[in-house]
Parts: sequence; structure tokens; C-alpha cells
Amino acid sequence: MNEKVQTESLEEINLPKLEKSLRSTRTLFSYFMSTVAVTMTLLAIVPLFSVLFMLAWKGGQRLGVALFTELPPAAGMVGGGIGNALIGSLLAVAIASLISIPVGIMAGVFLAEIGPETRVATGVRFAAKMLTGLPSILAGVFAFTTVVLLTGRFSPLAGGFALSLLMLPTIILTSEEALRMVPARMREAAIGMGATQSQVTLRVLLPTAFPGIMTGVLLAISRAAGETAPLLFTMTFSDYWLSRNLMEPTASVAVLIYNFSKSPFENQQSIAWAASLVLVLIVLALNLSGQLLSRDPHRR
Amino acid sequence: MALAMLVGSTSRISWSVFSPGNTLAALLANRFPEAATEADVSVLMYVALVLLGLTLLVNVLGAWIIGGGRPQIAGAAR
Repeated sequence: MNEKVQTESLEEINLPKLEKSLRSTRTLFSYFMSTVAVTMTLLAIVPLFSVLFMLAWKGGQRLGVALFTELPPAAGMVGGGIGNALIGSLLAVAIASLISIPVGIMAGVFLAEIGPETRVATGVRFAAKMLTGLPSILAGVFAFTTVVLLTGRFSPLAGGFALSLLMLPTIILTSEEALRMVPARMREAAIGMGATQSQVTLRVLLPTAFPGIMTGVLLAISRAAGETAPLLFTMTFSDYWLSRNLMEPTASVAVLIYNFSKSPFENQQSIAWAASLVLVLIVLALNLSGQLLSRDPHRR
Repeated sequence: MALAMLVGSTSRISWSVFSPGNTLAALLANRFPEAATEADVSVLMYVALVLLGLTLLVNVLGAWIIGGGRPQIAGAAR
């Protein structure tokens, strides 16, 4: 059957028909669809720049030393800043990192090295994937019922715990991926030298996978830094500086933006715009450094 | 969260997409900080449970589609 087709096509070959013609419907359709795809791609990057431009426009004039060193203004007051909220956000993210980074990396080591094919690993991998899709407000509800109801007060500890739930899956999955990317011959060479499993993991695998793991950590931190929902009823808000007692309600940039954007006072609204600009810039910087780290230094 | 600021949080159901509505997450975000009694909290916990169930359902479905319904991924949901 194959032969028949071949002889037929050789006899009836029609060269002009093989040429690409602009008039033929399928060429036109192809160009049309390409144009649509390019337009949609350009449209997809519009939101980022549109948001950045709007924030710079509305919040740019409030950027200054006062924004970073002063307390948020009360209703009707002039001036003010987001100093306490920045410190509160920093503290919450630091607590979240302290919880989620060790657990996440160790879990990644287990998934990639110790028992990749075990039932536990399959289950944990599945759970981590489910957790990445967890609505952030549910992390807040969970932290409320565990930490807040247990300690009896809103605190950065509860907020950090809620954020750590959101950071954990990203760290687990990216560290597993990063450890798997380590070439097998490095692992084999280390084992061949007589290294034990802990030596191989600590001295060879983790250092080699470090850039990949750091990328995941930075992405997780940048996600946590911008989250409002988990902090809304775990850390709540405070108009004052961080007290020496860490078990008090504490301000955060995200909740400040949420509260002040609903405010009827113009001064508080402009603080919300400026705080949004600062937050977006921080998140953008974290994301960019994450991308830089994941780039292979030996290439180029 | 972004929805909570825009969706309008009303407790009436309307079929018009231009009138205020509500979502589960927005309901939690708006009501939880004001929940005073035990009953308030337990109602909101129920809302959270429904929301969790819905997201898990969608996620499991997604994992099942990616895995082509093969048992090693779908089976993890046992």
C-alpha cells in the first residue's frame, strides 16, 4: 500500500501547490492565529506593568524616610508611616521561615534521597501538592483554632505559623526537585569514596542543590510576605511599635493595606498606596533574586 | 482576599453578575475578625470546611487528570 501511494504521488506531484501562498486559506488562518497568540501574550504582561505604574503614580510621592520610620496615622491625622507594620511583617515572615525552612528541606531530602518510592513519600508528595492549592484564608482559620485559641491571644507567633503553612509545600517540592537535579555520578562518586548517607547528603547533595533550594525558599518568602488573609485574625493589627512581649497583636504591611484602603480618610488611603508600592517592590526583588539564583552559573 | 474587597459581601443571593454577592473566602475574611460567640465561630468553621472540601475536590480532580487516572496518583487520595 505504501508503494502505491509513493508512485501515485510521484506521478501527480504538483509543485505550485506545494508553495506557500498568501492567498490560500490555511496560510491566512495560520497568520491570523499567530497574530492572536502574540496579542494575547502581550496582553498577559500588561497587568504587571499596569499595577506597577499605578502604584508608583499613587504611592510614589509618599516614599520617604518618614514612611519607614513613623507609626501609621490615626483617623484624620496628617503624616505618618508604616514603620511598625514593616517590622511586624518581617517578624512574621522570620517566624514562618524558622518553622517551614528546616521542615521543608528535611522533607525534600526524604522525598528525593531516603525513601523516594515509599508509600509515605507518595502520600507526602500528594499532600504537598494539595497544600499548594490551599486557600490562604484556611491557613488563617487553622492557625486561629490551634495557636490563637491555645495561647488565648493574637500574636506574631500565630501569624508566622499560618504563613509557614503556605510556605511549606513550595519549599518541600522545590527542594525535592533541586536534589533530584544533582547528577547521579556525584552521588555515586561520594558513595564510592566510602561516604555514609548523611555525609553524601550534607557534604555533596545539599551544597550542590543549594541554589535550587534557595530559589524555592525565596519564592515561598515572597508569597508569604504579601499574604493578608492568614494574618487578618491571627496577628490582627496594632497602631504601636512592637512590644517587648511578642505575644501581642502586631501590625503587618498586608493588613495595613487592607485596613487603610477601606478608610474614608485621604491620608490613610495614600499611606495604603505607598505601603502597596513598598510591598510590591520587596516581593519583586525577592522573586528576581530567586530567578537569578536558579540560573546556572556555569553556563554562558 | 482581593475578592473580599470587591465582591460586596451581601447575604442576599442575586442572579445578576453586577450586584453585590459573596464568596466563601470573603465571608470568612469579613466575619471571622468579628466572630464573638461560640456559635459564630462554629458557623465560620463550617464555612471553612466546605471551602476546604471544594478545593480538595478540584485539586484531586486535577491530580487525577495529570496522572491519567493511574493508580499511583489517584490512589494516594485513599
